[in-house]
Amino acid sequence: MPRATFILSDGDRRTIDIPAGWSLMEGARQEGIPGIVAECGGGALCSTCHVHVAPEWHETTGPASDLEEALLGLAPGADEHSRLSCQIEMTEAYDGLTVTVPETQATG
Amino acid sequence: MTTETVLIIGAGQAGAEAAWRLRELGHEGAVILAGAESHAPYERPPLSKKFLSGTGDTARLQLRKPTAYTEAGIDLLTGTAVRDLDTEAGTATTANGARIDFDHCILALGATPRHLPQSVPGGRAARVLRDLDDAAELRETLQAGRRLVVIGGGYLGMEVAATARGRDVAVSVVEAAPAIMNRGVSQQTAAFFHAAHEARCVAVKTGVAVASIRPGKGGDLLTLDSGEELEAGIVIAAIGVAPNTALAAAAGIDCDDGILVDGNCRTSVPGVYAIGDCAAQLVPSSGRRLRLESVQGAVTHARLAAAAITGTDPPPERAPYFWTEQYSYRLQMAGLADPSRPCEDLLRGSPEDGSFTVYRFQDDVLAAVEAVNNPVDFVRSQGRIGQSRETFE
Repeated sequence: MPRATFILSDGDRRTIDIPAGWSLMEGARQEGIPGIVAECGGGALCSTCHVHVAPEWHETTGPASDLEEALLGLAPGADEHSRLSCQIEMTEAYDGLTVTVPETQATG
Repeated sequence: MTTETVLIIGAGQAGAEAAWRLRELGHEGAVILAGAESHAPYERPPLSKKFLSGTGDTARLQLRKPTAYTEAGIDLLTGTAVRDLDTEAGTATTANGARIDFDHCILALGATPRHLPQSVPGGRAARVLRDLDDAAELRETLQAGRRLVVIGGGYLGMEVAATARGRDVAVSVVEAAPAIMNRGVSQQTAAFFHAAHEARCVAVKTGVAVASIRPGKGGDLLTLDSGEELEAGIVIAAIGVAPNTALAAAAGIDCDDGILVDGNCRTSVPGVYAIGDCAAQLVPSSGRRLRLESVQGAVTHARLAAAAITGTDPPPERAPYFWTEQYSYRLQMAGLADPSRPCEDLLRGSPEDGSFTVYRFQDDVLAAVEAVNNPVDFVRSQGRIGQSRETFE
């Protein structure tokens, strides 16, 4: 099962197993990773599962889609490494993926 | 900081979010999350869509795995219905007679599906869809070749109709109002979905009501007030919900089609909050009282109550948003038009191509946006709610 590491806003690191085929967001939510709100449940409808992908993983995960880009426009602190974690589907190729959880998500 | 106990009654999405939010905001006292259902908190939106289609798996519906609550110091009590609330003493009594003491109480009681009125003979034969158990049962019955009649052409009813068609179930929809999705969307959007269902052989009957249901040959026989008869193997009533207010009302908390709360989700009784589908909130900016039945409403309320309890800044107010998925179409809506006033609708894009946006203006101000398969447009438009019409010309 691929593992992913979340660097939390307080600097803590949490490494979790995520079943292949699940999204990074689903894995984070199941484990109660703080800061991943995922209000819409993973349909790319909101921006509340925003993460910063570690630069060395950027090539593997690829860039955000146009829709993601538009949604990330609503996310505080989004940058060129930003992705919506619901749009990253975990496979063995992503084993070791590291992302940073932003301090705040967009939700009101 | 505080070591006070927060009791959250109701473990749906609102209740669960409140529990997690309290911990994120640094609440150090006990957090007890008590829900009547036997399941850990889960997402309801997929129950009429992905889960009902037969592909959704129960573990993926869960908002968190059950052990995550323990790790976060949240006491999750499933199968625990609260039958009595004494706000003065700060105690709740469960159906089993156990007593739970609290300093603050968040009511996240949800809503109960309405059944057909007593005046419809046999109306109880119609099943309802609200929780995971309802969905699991309905999923078993939706077998190819069966006949489903959906009573109620709102979002839920039309989602069930679409999902059932995807499973080769024959579907009729009976809606008493003149149009489907009558409560919230523009005429263009309603007509688009009506046509989409008819194109997939759903018999959409508007402006008619069910007069009676009685046993028929292969199941039930529905008689409509037009005299038409419909045979059905499965009948589902999707005619809205009633907020669960009984516990609050019995505790002397002000209720009126929902538990009345202020902009911070405080009820009329100090220390008691109400969130999610059961709460009727006075929205500060508009002065309107709204009972939103939406995930975003649940999450926003939960954050307001958690902020109030921890004495932290409330999250900013945001236009409500909703979505529905039927076939390959996703409708996203933001903002709320005032139903008592007319709307001037501006259509952009092409319904013929299955992708368009409707901007709804009231008094030349953008009141609401509806986008079908136009998510980028939708995202950009959300921030324009409240802007003057001139900026759209």
